[in-house]
Amino acid sequence: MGEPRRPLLAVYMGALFAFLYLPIAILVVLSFNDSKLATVWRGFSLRWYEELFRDTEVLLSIRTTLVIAIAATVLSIAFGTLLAFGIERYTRSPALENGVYLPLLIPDVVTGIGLLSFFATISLPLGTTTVIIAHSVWGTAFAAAIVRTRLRGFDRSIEEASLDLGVREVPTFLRITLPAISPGIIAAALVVFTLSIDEFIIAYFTAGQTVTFPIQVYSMIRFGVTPEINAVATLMLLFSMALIVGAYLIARPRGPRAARPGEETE
Amino acid sequence: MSQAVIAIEGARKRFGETIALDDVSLEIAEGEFFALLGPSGCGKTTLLRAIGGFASLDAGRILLDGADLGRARPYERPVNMMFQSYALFPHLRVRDNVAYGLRAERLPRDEIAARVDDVLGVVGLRDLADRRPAELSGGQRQRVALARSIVKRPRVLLLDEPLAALDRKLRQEMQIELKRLQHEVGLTFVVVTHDQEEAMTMADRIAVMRSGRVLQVAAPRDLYRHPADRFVASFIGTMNIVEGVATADGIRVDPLGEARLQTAGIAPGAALAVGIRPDDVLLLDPGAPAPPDAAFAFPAQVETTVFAGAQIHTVVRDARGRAFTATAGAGGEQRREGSDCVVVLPAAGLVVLPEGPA
Amino acid sequence: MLAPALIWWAIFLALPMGLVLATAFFKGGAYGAIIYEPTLRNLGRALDPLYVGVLWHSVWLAALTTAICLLLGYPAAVYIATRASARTRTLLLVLVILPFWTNFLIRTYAWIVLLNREGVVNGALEGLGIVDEPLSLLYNDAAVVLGLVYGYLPLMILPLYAAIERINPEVLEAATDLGARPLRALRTVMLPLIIPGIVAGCVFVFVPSLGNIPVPELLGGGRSEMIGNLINRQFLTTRDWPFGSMLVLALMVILMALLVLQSFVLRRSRQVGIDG
Repeated sequence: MGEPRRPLLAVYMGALFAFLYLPIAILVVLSFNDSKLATVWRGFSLRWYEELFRDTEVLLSIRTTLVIAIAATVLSIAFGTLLAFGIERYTRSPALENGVYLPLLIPDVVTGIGLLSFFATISLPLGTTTVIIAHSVWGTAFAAAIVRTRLRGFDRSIEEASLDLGVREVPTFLRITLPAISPGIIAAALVVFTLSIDEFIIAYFTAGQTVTFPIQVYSMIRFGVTPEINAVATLMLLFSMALIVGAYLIARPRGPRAARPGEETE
Repeated sequence: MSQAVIAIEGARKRFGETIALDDVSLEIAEGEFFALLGPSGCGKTTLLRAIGGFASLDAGRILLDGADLGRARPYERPVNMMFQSYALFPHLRVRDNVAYGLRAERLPRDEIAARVDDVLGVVGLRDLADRRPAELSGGQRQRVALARSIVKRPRVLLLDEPLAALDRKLRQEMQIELKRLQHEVGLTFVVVTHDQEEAMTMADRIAVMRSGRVLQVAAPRDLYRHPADRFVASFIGTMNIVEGVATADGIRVDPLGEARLQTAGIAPGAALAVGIRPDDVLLLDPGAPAPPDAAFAFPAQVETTVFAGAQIHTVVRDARGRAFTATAGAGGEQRREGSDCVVVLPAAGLVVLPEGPA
Repeated sequence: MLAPALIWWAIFLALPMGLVLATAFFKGGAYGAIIYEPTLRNLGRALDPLYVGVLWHSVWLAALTTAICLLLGYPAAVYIATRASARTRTLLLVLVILPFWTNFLIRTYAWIVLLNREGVVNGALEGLGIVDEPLSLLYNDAAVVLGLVYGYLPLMILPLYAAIERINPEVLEAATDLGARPLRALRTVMLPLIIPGIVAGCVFVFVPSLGNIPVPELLGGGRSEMIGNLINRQFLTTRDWPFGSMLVLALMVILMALLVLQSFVLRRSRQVGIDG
């Protein structure tokens, strides 16, 4: 009945959200600043957006990143779903489970270096393909974790009902099981897709001469502060928000909590 | 009545639009088993939580042994609560759960051990002292919660729906058991419940609450025999209700006739309802003479009969479509459904029922 | 059903890890060549105080980041978990996560915009006449920790929230009812019950902080180096892969130790009731 009133905590939450959002908000504001200097407001302008859309390097990197993200998502979902089912239904081995979730527990730099060494050893030339493989190895772990969460809450008696009503295993899986866990699969797809788009370190080691969007951003930042990045930030923020709202609408009632598989691997 | 342990004076509390407590005043006596009874949302839990220090009042005071508790925090009150969910500490063994409150008081180790052992004996859990809550059954958990709150020998023990989580059979056993325990430890118990049977079985006195108000405070027997208003009458057990019009010295029910009743304070001509308990209603064969104490007697048809072990419940309906329930001992005859009978409402069983607050 | 996924996993995860492990014990040749002769030379080099120092510095910064995230995240998690309406809780959680879904590099870059010599903070301070000269706010340990905290704070709040939300609020009330003052209730009931959440949050923050590359690179600017920068250089600049692999191995050893510690803490919290 009623929640504890904690005025101090409420003030603290306000400060925390300011800490989380002010830096991003400043980028958004500066992206519309006609001036190149962060400290001078010279009026509203879309010139950084115009420059951004004329920048062929940036556009190419976005294209590369989207190709990688789509391919990696498809592969991750396929293998991740299989793994989730395998672990949930056919084995109770904690060692196997931890192995599958390993990419979630080791730093990206280790995953990236491992794959780099591997690709070099089998003489696979670095490029879009290797990043796709790298991202799907890593995305599979996320997908498996998320789908497994969904499977754990899955009432198996509806499968039994289907079998009882005379439908064989494979059609039962396709018609009953898959639709029932599809919100988990879609949530997993959205998470893997978003993570892949944002992923920097693994791509950095496995991309060779190929430039993904985060790698492009990284080199722009290293080159110096430019308001073009502010425009990029604003557009990405919009894009992420659209994805989150989408994920939330699809994955309800679990909501955004399903979005962090990490909770399940504790 | 001996001196009041708890006195509540003009307690008010609202949550936004909802009024949880509306000018509640009560006194609870030393050693009493007191029940707060009412439907969900009537304010009984808010009142209990206010005594425990978990809810603050908007107005009014709560006195413990004559001293205002004010805004004392829960850990500063010599009052303990048994929570509805039992609220056992899942990471602690039974022994440590029970010892928790004594350790907070920084009592010597030996004394803690002795008192814990003692109280575990009282609730019959000595053998399970090293288990964790997850390894106990529902009934055992309930006993741990009880032991944990009585071991501190509070001035008052508050029990929030103590039996709600138990299955029916266990619940009935525990009603008796709680009563026995209360006698044994000699503490004042205040229990919140929505189950009238539970309150009637256990409590010395019951406060019936509705919409934040106390409608009646009385012993179970008085509550049953002399309900203060229509709500109390129908909330406690089953009550047949007859609507009529007040006369100078009683009630007139068309077309059944008039009866003499104590109707002090009700203006003649005003609408008036009287109630009668099913066990006071008599059913006779058609044509049988009405007994001299009958206030009303009228023909009806038997609709359903239910054989409930010790009793037979018969539902009859009169010519105007009014239903009455009559309860007789199992020794009586079971009437055939659809047969005719005469319903007799003896004057001694009639209770005047004011409308009461909405 | 499990087989194809397992094969995929073995080829692209187990094999590469084995490869790194093996490479760490080979000789590095000129121009990035790997000479397949077993050697302990890389191990000896990694134990050089220079590298041990960077390793230790990385662990220290990651630990500091984790501690700060725990301190900042706990009150937030408590606040969110104690909201009565599920809608409010969801909304607050989304607000916590949302920044996390904007590109990590861009969020790091935001701090450059804020903190550099011509940045927003210095501009404001000069404008208000508080300082005459712009302050050097970037390229030090504090900036690196700030960037890491900013990047990974949501990863601490979420598991803490999940753990706190799972607690029956009556259990906490029971503690106060039985005479425990707030601090005692926190120590004897709250903390033991949320240890799994604390451990999870710490792992989620510590691991990516320890192996981070862009934050020390961009906000530390070479002056606050972490092991990720070293590894990066061995593989992409110096091209001494065997030594780089040894550094990766060192990183993995630290993390193994951490995971052992984690499972130890978890087992302990499950076995021992808090006495006192």
